[in-house]
Amino acid sequence: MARLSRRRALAGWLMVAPALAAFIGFKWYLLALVVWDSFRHIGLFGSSSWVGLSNYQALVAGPGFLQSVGATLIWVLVGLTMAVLPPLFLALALENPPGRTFWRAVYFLPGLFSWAMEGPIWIFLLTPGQGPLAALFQRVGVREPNWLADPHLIFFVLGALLLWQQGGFLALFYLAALAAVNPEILDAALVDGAGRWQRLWRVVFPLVLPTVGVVATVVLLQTFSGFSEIYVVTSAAVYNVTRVLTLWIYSHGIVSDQVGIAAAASLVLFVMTLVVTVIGLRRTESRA
Amino acid sequence: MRAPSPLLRFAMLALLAVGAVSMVVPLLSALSLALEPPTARITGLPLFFPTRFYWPNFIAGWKDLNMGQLFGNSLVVSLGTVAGQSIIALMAAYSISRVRMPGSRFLLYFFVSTMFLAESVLLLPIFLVLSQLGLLNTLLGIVVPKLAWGLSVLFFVRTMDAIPREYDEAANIDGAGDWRILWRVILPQMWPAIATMAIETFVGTWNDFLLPLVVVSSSSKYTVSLGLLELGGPNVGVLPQIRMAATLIAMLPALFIFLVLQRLFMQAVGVGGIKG
Repeated sequence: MARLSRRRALAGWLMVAPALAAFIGFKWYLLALVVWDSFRHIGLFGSSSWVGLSNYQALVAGPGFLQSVGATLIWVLVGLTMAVLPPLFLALALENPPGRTFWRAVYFLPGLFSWAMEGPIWIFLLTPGQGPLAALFQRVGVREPNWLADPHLIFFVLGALLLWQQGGFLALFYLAALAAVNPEILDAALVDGAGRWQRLWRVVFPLVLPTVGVVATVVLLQTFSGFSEIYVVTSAAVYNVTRVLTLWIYSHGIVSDQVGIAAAASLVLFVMTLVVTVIGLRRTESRA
Repeated sequence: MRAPSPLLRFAMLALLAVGAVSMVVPLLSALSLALEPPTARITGLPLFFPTRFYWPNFIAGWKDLNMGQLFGNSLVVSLGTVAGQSIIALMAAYSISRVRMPGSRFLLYFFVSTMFLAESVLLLPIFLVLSQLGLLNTLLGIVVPKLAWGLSVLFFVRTMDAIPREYDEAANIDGAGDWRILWRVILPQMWPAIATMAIETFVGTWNDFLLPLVVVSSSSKYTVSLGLLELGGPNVGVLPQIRMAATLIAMLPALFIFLVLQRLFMQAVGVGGIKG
């Protein structure tokens, strides 16, 4: 290819300029700003001074932060255990049933909407004493658990709701992987006398395994920065239990304006997410 | 796979049906609550399915939550984000895929790697920068932070790389410059990709309330998702029936897009995924 004329190069840079401005201004610069602010104390009227690590010290010493880190890790773990494998089984069922477009659409339906819309529906359903679920429990004569206000139960409920909302979407990853399984391999296994379950466990699963890593990464990223679902659904009674880092950052940095400390917390969240995701990706890649 | 035995097939369908019911039942009970007359008791409402049909709740929901304004704001924000994001990504993708200045592949990494910067990590600096720019409590302030989206650049570059270069070369021989080639030759072939990305962004923006929650403070600037939470919450004194009716109205745009453009929609989800 001939060397780029100066005019073409200019056109090229002009075309990429808005993107450069947007990505620098609202991504990379913001990251730099978080790092910078996390080492500074910002007083009223915008005066600020370098304070070294004292924001981080205040984080660890202050009440609630470590608990919040713990809540985040629990939420990530709940997401990984409750929302990564079930969509695989869903995908196996959705692969080729009669009327599969219909089934896929139905399972996908909850993923269409915001927690701002679905949260209130679940609050209505899961508040004891109101709604059809309560009526059901009453008829059977079992005391309904206080789903949204029981600190031992809340994360499981949130995990189930996560699966309810994201299951159909996450199954799409597995469906794509299943569609890519070469039918000749299955035929070969059949010729070798492998039964149905054997083919599933020995042939299909190993081929789909790398996708488990992909789905796990999606769930990881989602739960590490989880906010919407927890913000909407959790009741005040368990607020301290479920206050994950994003909620912590929101209430400290934006509602009550403690910029330095919230910046430090943002950076902690960033590093946690990065480390776990990179380790996760490495492990799936080495297995793939 | 091979056709399974009829029994297994039946069992699987039965399981699918049970699961499907659990997907749909919450939405149906929301509908049945929304159709209860305002005078009805909602404690111990026994049914998952609507039995009474009091439609005026939907009119009350539209009025009480001021949904005309909420829809207007959400439309401005969602369409603005879609338009801005597409144009920015389209031009960048052309530059990277076609002009190929030295270092342009590095640019692609520079854009795409920002996908690892979660919104929750950048929440605080977004707030600080918007406040410095005077964009807090404006609709523009909800749009601007979402203009940079690495996935759209990546997707457009990949799509453009697959368009044969003969088209550009022919146009070039006819004397067309890069701008002309982008708008007249490349753009018409990019519409499916643009539509796919647009659906993903539109629904994602429609559903998002974290950014509006951070940026906007006065109720005249609320988007639909934020407004439902702030104006329909239990402490505002809106009846549950009416709030539920408003919630269902808010679901209609995404549902409509899903039903009408299902194939494109599934593609969009395959590319990026919808966040809510």
